[in-house]
Amino acid sequence: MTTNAARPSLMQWLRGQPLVRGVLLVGPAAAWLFLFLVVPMVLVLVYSFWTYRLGGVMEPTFTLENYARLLSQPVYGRILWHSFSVGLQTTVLALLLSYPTAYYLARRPSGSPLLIFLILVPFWTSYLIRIFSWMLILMERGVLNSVLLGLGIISQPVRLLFTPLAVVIGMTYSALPFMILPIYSVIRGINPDLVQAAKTLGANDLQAFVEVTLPLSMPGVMAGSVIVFIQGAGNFLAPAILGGTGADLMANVIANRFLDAFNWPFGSALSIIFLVAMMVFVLVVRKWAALESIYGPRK
Amino acid sequence: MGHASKVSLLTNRTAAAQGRSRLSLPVSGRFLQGVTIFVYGFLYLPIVIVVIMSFHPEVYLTFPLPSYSLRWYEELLQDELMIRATLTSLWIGGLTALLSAVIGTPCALGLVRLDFPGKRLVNTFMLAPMIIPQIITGISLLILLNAIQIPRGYPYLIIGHVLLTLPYIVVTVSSQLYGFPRELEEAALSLGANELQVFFEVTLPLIAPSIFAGMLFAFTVSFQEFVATQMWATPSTYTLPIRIFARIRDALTPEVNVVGVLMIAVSFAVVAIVQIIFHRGKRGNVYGV
Amino acid sequence: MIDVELRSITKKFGPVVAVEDVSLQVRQGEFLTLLGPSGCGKTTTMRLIAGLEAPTSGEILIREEPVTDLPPYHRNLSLMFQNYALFPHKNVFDNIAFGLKYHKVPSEERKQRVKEILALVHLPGMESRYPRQLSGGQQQRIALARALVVKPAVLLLDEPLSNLDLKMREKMRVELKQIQEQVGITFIFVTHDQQEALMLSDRVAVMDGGKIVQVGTPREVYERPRSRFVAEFVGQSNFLEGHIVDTRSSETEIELASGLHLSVPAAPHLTKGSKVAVQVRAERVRIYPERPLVRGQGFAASVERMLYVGDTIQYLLQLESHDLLMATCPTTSAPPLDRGAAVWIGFESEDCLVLPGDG
Repeated sequence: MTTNAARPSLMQWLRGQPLVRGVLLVGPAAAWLFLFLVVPMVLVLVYSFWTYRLGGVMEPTFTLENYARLLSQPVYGRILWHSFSVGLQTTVLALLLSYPTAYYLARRPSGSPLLIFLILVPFWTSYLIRIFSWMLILMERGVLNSVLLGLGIISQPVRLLFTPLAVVIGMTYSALPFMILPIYSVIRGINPDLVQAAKTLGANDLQAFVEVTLPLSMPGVMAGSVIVFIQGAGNFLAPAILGGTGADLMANVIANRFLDAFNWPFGSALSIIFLVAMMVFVLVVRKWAALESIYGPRK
Repeated sequence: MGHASKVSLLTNRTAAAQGRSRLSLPVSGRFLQGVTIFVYGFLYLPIVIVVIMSFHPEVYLTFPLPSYSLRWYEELLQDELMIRATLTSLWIGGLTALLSAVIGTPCALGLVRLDFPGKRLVNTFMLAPMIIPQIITGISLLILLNAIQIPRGYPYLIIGHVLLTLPYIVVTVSSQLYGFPRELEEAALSLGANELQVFFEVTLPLIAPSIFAGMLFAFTVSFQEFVATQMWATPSTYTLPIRIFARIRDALTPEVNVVGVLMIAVSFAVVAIVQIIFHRGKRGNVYGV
Repeated sequence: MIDVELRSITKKFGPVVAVEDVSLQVRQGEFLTLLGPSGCGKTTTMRLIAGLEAPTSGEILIREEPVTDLPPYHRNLSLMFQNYALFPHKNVFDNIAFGLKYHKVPSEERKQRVKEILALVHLPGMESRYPRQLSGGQQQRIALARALVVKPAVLLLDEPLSNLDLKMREKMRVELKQIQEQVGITFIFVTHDQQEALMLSDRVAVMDGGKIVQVGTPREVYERPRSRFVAEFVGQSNFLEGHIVDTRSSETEIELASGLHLSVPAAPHLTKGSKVAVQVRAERVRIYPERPLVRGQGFAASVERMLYVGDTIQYLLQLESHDLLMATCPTTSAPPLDRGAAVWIGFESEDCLVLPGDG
């Protein structure tokens, strides 16, 4: 093999330039995100200050009218508030159901791979289909009522569909895998010796749980909660399909402005307000969330 | 069996479980099991209903249950709009998966192996499409492409779906890349291969499983994406979820159940394939190292 | 001929200095070991020679040609790793032929050379197996074959035997040495196992804190350590602290901290009053049932602790002055001494080495 000390090559130059390599490798993806996510959001901000003329025409005249309308008409504030409160309800409900489940799955010695597989299947199945199925279950002539009527438990069909309850059921349903998986990951990563150590030092089961497992599982809880909350508050399909009229959340209102009313400036203003509220929430919570835990236990 | 013996069975089992497994139970194991069973039942109820109803000849559930019928399957096969929408979703999903992989794999490599200014920023932002509500992603891309006069339809769908699926590829490939034994590449370098050759001969074949899995995820996400997609598609480019939504909104057609069964089968297959890929080999590591 | 030369090599990772001003010459055909504890810089030094890291300053030459700026694939060397690093997706033949392919060896010749090298490592006929089908020892031999088949000037080995169980490791040590002598390639071996280093090497370079503290044959390093670190790291040593009270032409008298007096061979470079540590190897400390008639030192002692190691017994003995000494004795048919047994210990003056105190 010959050695040739003084022959520079492209490869060699690249070796010493981590910045160039970084740009070449990460550049396309970063550019994609920048061009198609960041830049558009700036545009949304810009549009929110434009004027809307009847007929679906936008004028680039600066106006604060959109925001004024937003803040003065209580219905929008109500919907925003409602979106966040539904998001919160969903988060709490999902947490109540998910934590015990995740705990159970994580503490089994095998880590329950089969059961995790069974959670992943609905996780990856179309949300639309599963919400639709809830429609089938909850409607007046639906599965639930048919079964209850058939068993004689009720004499008249119960009105479940197109109620706030239906929306909450739908959203909690979709939230479950997003809450179970991070909590499972984090608990699975907790060293079992820690609990044993606590017990040998005199703690009983409950105390060992509260002192050791619970605090250590918090990153997973926070990660799941942030994701579930954002998806809950920003949910489109559950209110659209299960909620009927009057059940609109922010996502539905925004979609309506763009697709039906063509009032893009106003829709943009709605989006900005919504986004800002969300970002404030996430930034406040960010300190405690371990968002990476959704990708599996740390090895 | 008397109540006392049932209780002792329970406590015996709990004690045995504590000794053998790692269970530390602040509440009875029965409670945890109960909640878990309820959660799984809750999770699978709609899926089971969809499958059942797809074989149920009537539009609404009737008792006693009649024998199964393939009526809706046949009707679906003659539904041109649905078939066209399915095909659209299929090829957009495939193209999205491919493009995402081509853009996302180098990105994962750069994020895992290199250190450059702004890396943390990119890392954080890479997750954004997954976290930001899809309605927002939908309208923002709509606004941008509209402003530069691109008509709605395929361009929006491809660009937008790649945007939405990039994080899945980057995360999947990154997580496998973190555990990659660098000595393999170093050995190859010492044997005479340059960096590019090492990448194609050693690195790429060994991260191929995660790239493939990421592509499967990307396909799945694209295939069933609705909320943002409704902002981007035109009637001639309607994807399957948009057709389904339109059907649900207008009238209750049980064909939707058949489509549902199809989509459940797709995700079952995807999850199964990915689990097999990543759990091959007792050493728990795709490299067999 | 000097196969590998390092000239004032320094490597910094940010503020951390991993290798500091290291200079070394490795002769052709030599088996040189870089020995030291974790974090001493031996692996970094090896990686610098290989071209996997670039030095912050200094030069590296291979066969008298500067290679400091060259990547690994332009340097005339091969590597062996602790975890074998065999390509799992290629079979044995493709693993070994990998280097031949990139050295542009024609494919007919490749088959022949793979066959020869497999015979050399005692694994003929394994071409179509995959790494996961092989045992640890077999994998390591294939890794060796892969590294040797390209006929490098130098082979760098990074703790290649640390993943093997003890018996396999002992076997592979012997084989490795035999093959090196047979093939005549320069080996640069990295390990923290001082026994391995002594057994295999022509020369040992002991490293500590990023610097080379001593280079010499195994015998030199063992019997004439130049610092306390080397004396402690290689073999079992006793250290008795004290200071010099008298220097004469043939011997030096030292008073220990405990008050005991020792006479050791003259150490002319050390002056009266300076602090020293007297080093005595554990195996040079002899135990006698009664006061011995030896030229060296004899002291009354009692057994503090006894550790039975099988082929040897380690005793911890306490002198009347409360100094503690460790003695390693070969096992005999007589039963080991009990705790508390009163004995005499002795060691020759020549077996004492005077090292600078706090050295």
